[in-house]
Amino acid sequence: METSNKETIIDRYLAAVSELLPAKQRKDTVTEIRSLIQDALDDRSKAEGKEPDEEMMAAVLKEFGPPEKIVAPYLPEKYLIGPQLYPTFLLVLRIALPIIGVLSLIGFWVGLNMPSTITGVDLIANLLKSLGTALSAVVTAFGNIVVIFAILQWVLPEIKTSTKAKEWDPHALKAISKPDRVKRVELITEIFFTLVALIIFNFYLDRIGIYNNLNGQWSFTPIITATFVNYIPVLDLLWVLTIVLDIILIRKGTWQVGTRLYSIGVNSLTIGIAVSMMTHIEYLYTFKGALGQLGAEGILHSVLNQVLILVFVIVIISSAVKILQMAFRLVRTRLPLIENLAK
Amino acid sequence: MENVQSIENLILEMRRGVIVLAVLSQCGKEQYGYSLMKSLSDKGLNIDQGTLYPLLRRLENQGLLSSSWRLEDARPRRYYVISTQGREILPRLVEEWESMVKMMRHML
Repeated sequence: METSNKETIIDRYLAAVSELLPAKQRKDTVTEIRSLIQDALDDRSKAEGKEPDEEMMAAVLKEFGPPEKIVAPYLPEKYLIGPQLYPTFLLVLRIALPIIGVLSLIGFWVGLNMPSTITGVDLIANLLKSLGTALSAVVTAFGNIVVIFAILQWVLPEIKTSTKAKEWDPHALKAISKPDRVKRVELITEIFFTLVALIIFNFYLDRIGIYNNLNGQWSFTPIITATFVNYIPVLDLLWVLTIVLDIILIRKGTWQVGTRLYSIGVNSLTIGIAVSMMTHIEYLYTFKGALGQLGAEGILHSVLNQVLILVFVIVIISSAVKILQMAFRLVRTRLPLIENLAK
Repeated sequence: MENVQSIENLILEMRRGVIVLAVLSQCGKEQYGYSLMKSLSDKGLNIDQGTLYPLLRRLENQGLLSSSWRLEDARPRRYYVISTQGREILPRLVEEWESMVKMMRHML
């Protein structure tokens, strides 16, 4: 139908339809519905004596009804969670699972008694353990959410769509998101800042400290401790892995199974390092002697600790969200909607 | 308002059985969804898309229809045709239908 690459409301409609279908029958059913819509559109175009436009498409879609309606008869009669509840179910999963995963990770690391000096083996062993704990918490939560929605589905089997169908407006369909396409500018920015971090932490670590100007005399006190230096090899590994991933993504242009799995690994490592650093925050830096006679070390230390903990928590949460997004995309079979079907 | 709704539902229920017979009777030659809908509509049976297409799928799953994709004007179309099993069953359904009509005429 459309020879141009412009996304029409029919594409949007089909994207919404495909979201509601089980992966197995998605491609076939969407192709069929697309051909049916096209036939209806051709017929209307002939009857009205003009080329199909957005208004005509909207009118045809209105006849087909909202995606939930057209999809319902294609689905098996018995399902655990029906098409009306399914989008809400997904939304709840997307919000609840990352939070539960992160809380369980934090709980694991906070409850862990680790010595002030840590070895790489300890870190990896605990990292794996913490991921196992988080995974089991996420799986349990997933099971509970499924049960709750299955009960809702059972209690409310007749969720009426008739009134919704009348009010439904095809123009309100959401634009299709293209989760597989990478954003090159973001990747290049990430490579740049990661390189900066690599250079600073490997070559200029001794210059990180407090510069003080007392009575016209500059003094410098390093604040980095030996504990922090222990983290440098793992941080280097993380940053190199990140740059390699970014380069692969820039070259490929889209996310694929391999890069998604790789990204899950990198983000898991990020969480492990961030949690470990957060639990050893007291030993990462020192202000001893740095502030001369001011005596403000205690206050400054506690304020900086709070800020750093906040930063680590943000890093952990965003990494956990990325892991879940990647896992979600891996599980969900992609539908080559516009690109392939229209060809 | 509710009354009208329930009458509509009763009519829909009655039509449901008839639609299967009507569709099978029209699939002697290959039809794609929209052409079938038009041919049914020309003969006075209006079915909306949301009912017809899933029904075709169901009849195919039951082995009464078979389907194949074909590319026409660079567009894929799914064509349905009555299967061997469907051909065997159709005369029995027609017979049953005629006896039902007879019976109902007698009853009403």
